[in-house]
Amino acid sequence: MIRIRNLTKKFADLYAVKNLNMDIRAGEIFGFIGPNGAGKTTSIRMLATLLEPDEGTAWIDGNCIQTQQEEVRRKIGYMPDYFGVYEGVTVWEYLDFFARAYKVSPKERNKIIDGCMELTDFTRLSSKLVSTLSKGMQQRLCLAKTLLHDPKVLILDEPASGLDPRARIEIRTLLKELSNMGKTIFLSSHILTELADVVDSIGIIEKGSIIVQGNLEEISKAISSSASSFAIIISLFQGQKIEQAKGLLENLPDVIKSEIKGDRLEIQYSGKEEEIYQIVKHLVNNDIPVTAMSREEKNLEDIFMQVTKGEVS
Amino acid sequence: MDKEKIITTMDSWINPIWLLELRTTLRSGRFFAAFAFSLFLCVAAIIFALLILASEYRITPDQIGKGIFSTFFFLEFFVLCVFFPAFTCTGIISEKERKTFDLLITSDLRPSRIVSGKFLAAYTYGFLFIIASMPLVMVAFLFGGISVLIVVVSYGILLVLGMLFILYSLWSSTYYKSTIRAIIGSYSMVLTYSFFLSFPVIGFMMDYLYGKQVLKFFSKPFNINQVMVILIPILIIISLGILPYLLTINSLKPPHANRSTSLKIFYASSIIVILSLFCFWGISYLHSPGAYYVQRESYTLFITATSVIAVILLVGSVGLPLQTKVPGIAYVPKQGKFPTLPWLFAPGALNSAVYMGVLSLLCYSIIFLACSLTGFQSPGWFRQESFIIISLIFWIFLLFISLSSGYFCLRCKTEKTKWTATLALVIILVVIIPLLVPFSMIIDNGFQASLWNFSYLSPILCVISCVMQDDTITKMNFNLFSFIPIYYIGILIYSLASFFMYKEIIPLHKEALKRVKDKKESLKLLQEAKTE
Repeated sequence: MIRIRNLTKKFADLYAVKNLNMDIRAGEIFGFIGPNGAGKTTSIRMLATLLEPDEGTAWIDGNCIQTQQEEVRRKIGYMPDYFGVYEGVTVWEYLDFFARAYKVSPKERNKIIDGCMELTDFTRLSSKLVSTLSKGMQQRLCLAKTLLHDPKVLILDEPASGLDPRARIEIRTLLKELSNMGKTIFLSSHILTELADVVDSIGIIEKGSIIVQGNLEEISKAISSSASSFAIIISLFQGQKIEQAKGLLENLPDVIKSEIKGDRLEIQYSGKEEEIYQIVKHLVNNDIPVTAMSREEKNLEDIFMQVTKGEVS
Repeated sequence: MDKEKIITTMDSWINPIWLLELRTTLRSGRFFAAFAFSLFLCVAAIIFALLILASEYRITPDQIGKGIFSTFFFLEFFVLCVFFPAFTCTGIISEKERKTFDLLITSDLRPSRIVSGKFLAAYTYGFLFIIASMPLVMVAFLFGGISVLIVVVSYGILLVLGMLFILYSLWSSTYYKSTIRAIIGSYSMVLTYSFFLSFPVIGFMMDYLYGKQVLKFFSKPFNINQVMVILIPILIIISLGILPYLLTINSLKPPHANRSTSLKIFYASSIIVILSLFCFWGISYLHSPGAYYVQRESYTLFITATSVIAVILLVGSVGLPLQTKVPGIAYVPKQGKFPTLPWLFAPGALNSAVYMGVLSLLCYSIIFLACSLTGFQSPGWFRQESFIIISLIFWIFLLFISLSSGYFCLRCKTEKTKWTATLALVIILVVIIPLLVPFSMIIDNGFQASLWNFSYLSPILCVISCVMQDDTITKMNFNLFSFIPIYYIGILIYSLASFFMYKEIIPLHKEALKRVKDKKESLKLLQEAKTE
């Protein structure tokens, strides 16, 4: 659905985005992650036809962002990171304006506006002035506006920034619902927890270039397999004999360090994956009441911290 | 057509920006305050005028009526200058500052629709201001001295001036980067315009009220001068209004979409002014054919219009092909067997050169037609056939310059080189060669066209030699072929040079096209490989 090839944008001598290459399948939720100043918004503005790339191009549903701008604009629903609202208009009038702007047929317009308001939970607030809405509600309203012309692709720049936890959860639920409706969603964020539950795949950008891209699980596995050691958590029954267990494990050659965390023991293991069972065997042979053992999974934050260096373009 | 279909059609005509602006502004307290204040001013002005006029000794009722009306009219003119820009000067910049501009641009609204929506909204407020004050002016009818015609004409003038002020304020709102600057810029432009426009407006009003020369002029049986007096201001107003409108639209487009638009705008407005000059020329000739002053006037206009066209086209011939990125072609639309109009307007190097060539030919054809239709007769010292030769000299020279800049664009590797090469060529042909003439005059003891002073390459010298009819013309012949005037040699050289330049550009153009195509194909292959 979205194809990006060698997309490059330069501001004076500074590369904001350099040779960006990406493929996003239809119906996918793609998380575009990167530290502040990494080039996320510049890339998104190029995709939304607001900035002209210096080199390379991108296609959205087969339409080039440089030569077929009008078609691209019809295919996308764009929500910028910062946006304003018109004072003195109600929620319904605001949506009516954008429906007219997107040339939604007059016959269908009222029905579509009502449908979008229902989806974003605005039905009861239709006559409320837009300027009196809270930040979270305005974000939701902007999302409703992007849905009016039934776009195939949603490009959302930091959709949950500045929102309280409740509003963030609401936006996440809405995104999942939109994904179920078959929309391709391209969203950027630097708040990783808000993306982790929603995205199908991610791309991490730093200094204007993509460093990691792909399915979240695949990336996690790839990073783990490339790492020289990983963490293992061992649970003991009511924390009994925890000090004895710690001493036993420290004597093993592949255990780099061990640490007590409540009634659990966390160790850093540098051995082979297929030999992990030896740890359990060693503990059980020494009469240690082991109740569970698990390998610590890498979450989005760990991946992000591991692959980025915190540099800006 | 059924009722529902009519409603649907009419609904689709409504400009969304206009509707939104009306919804937001008409509800605001600021609008109500401004509206009430302007009406209060009008009422106060009428009462004040009445008191002043009533205190005059031996004043007739029709003089009171005229006094009230003129006071009211100038107050309306003041309201126009103050309030019209107030509702427009922040039109686009406020969208940018409010961060709603990106939402507008990424919607399905074209820049022209955004600008016309903003214009219509501002014009609606202005219209309301002016129309709301209309009942007040009726007070003047109680005293007499004015007619319905003058009221209609005055309101017409106010509405046209309001249109101009709004367009300039709107342009200011896209040109400046902050609201404060946009407001200052807008009021500066409007006040400058109103200063100059106030003279004819005051003149017209005073004439009607106290002399009625204009009215007498129009009350005569139909004659061509009446058309001229109406046509010229209309053409000037169109040319004044079209420029800010197009510039505003242009500034809303992304940079790659408006590469050559600013130049086209430049031509559009300039050509309207030139056409109005020609209209004036033709009409004045038709009105009194054969009169000596008409001949002189026609000749002056001919030289003025030709020079203006030549300068405009020279700028375009150099600038338009150079808009293309180096190397090759940034964007070339699909070409059929025959060049289509969009193809001519495309910002490719060769396309632009062809476009400039066609445009210059068109402009000089207008000169030729105008001369033929009006039966242009030259003064004694001006050759009858000169206007055709001059047109030909300029056209062929401009075609050559245009093709050369297109060639440099395709050949040079850097921006700097292509600009330097093109400007050097223009400076040599337009400035350096005519400067060689005084030196050759010292050596040759008078003007003598020769191989080494290259006078036949200067379009200006060719034109001068073409215009002159006295003995000096014989001295201006090319010394190798003394019977051939230099302008014919100039035309021949530039024709051959243009032909060879065109032949030279074609393979370069094809090469550039191939490069673009290869790049596209490699990207396509890359895509397919990725998909697989």
